[in-house]
Amino acid sequence: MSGQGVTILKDTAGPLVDRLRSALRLTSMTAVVGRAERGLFRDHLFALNRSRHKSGGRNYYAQAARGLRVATVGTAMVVSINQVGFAQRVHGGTIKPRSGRKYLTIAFPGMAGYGKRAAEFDDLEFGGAVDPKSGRMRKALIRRPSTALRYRRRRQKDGTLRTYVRPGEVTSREAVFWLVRSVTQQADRSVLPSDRDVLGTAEAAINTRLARLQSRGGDS
Amino acid sequence: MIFTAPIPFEEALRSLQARSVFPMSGATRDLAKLDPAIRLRALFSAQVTEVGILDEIQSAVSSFTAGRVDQSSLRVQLRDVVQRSGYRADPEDFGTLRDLTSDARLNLILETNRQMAEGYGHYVEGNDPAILDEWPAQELVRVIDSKVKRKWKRRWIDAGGRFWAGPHRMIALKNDPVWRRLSRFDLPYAPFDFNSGMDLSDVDRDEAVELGLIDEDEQLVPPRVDDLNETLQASPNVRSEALRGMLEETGLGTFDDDGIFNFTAQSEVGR
Repeated sequence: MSGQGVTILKDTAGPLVDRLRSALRLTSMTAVVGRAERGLFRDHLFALNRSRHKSGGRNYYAQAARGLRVATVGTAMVVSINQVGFAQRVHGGTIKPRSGRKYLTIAFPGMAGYGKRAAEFDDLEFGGAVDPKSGRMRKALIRRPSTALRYRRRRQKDGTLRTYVRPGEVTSREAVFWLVRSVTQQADRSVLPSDRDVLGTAEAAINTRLARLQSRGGDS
Repeated sequence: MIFTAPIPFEEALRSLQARSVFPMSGATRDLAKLDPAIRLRALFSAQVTEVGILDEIQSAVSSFTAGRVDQSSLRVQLRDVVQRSGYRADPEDFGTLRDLTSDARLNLILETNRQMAEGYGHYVEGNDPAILDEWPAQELVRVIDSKVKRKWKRRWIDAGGRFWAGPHRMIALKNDPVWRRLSRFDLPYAPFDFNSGMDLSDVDRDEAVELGLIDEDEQLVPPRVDDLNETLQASPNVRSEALRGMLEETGLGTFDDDGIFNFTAQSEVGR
């Protein structure tokens, strides 16, 4: 009876253990490939951040790199970039104002509105300004010259406070945002590593992992 | 194939869900005295004593980390909540980090909390045995160019780190205590300081062996991960009570009648 039992166990357990080993190897392989791809995507996005954010800003691509995650879905691997606007950059397309709004606000590096929302200013008015790039008049949100006084208190070395009063910083009418009816962005596949690099990285990771496991006797 | 819907960074979001909102009167220096286990479970911001503001910060950071809302929109939203609460910065502090409505402070809150959550997520992910086997070491690298750079090499030495492959590369095994000692937050993952342009990059086994950091077949003992799953299994009230107990045990301060934790020997505000 017990012998039969052992025989039965041998017959079914062998393939079961093999399947388990195989599944474990596959899971560990997926994790390794995922980590290798994570490195590729992060390096790519950090490099993009250095080349495209020379004028400052909020380091959009670096944020995308730090928020990148690699998930395994079954035996597949998914790289996910959790950054607002990233899919728009990859796929391109036309952006229009939300319903009830007439314009989009656009600011370029160097403009006071760059990286900000119009709602963050309380001194904007509708107007027109000359676009230095094209030399043409454009609709814009303009910052009113400020007549307000700016108070600043500084602590002195002896611990006392001294108050400084200066005129407001905005002395001339300045275009903070350009107003446009819509924007069409071209698809930019270069924000992601090339398919060739993605495949090459996966292949290299698989080969390295297999070689390591084989050198240790096949099971790890 | 490219999908357009992001997959949430679950480990990162879980670390945010595990945090209970706690108003505290302390400055940054006081908050730094708290044990990392508390800081991992409590959401606070220097000198913010309004629960409503902290609730809003928590929700904003979750949306930001999940990639649902952009940073500028969240900044507008948070500033609005802070202003409606009746908060007014000291005129001396207008526009500075001490002004809760300033761009600098709001960006710092959003970015630091997001990076901490993501750092925790990457740390948990990186502790998979197969990943530790292939990439047993990591390197501290600059990924964002900063106008004013901290002296990281000096800090690395002070934390007990060694330079490898020349006088510049700050590499160590992933379970080396240097990572925790390097961090201003006493945590073994990035970010290691506020507004830091430094991050971690995996170093593979072949290179780690070549450098003499590890042997070919040596297996790394995974670093201890502060498990937030247990915390998350408790109800928010239980979590909050447990955290309250942990804070009281620190002996650093006491709760007042409004539930605000006041540090007894409080540093002068953020100076």
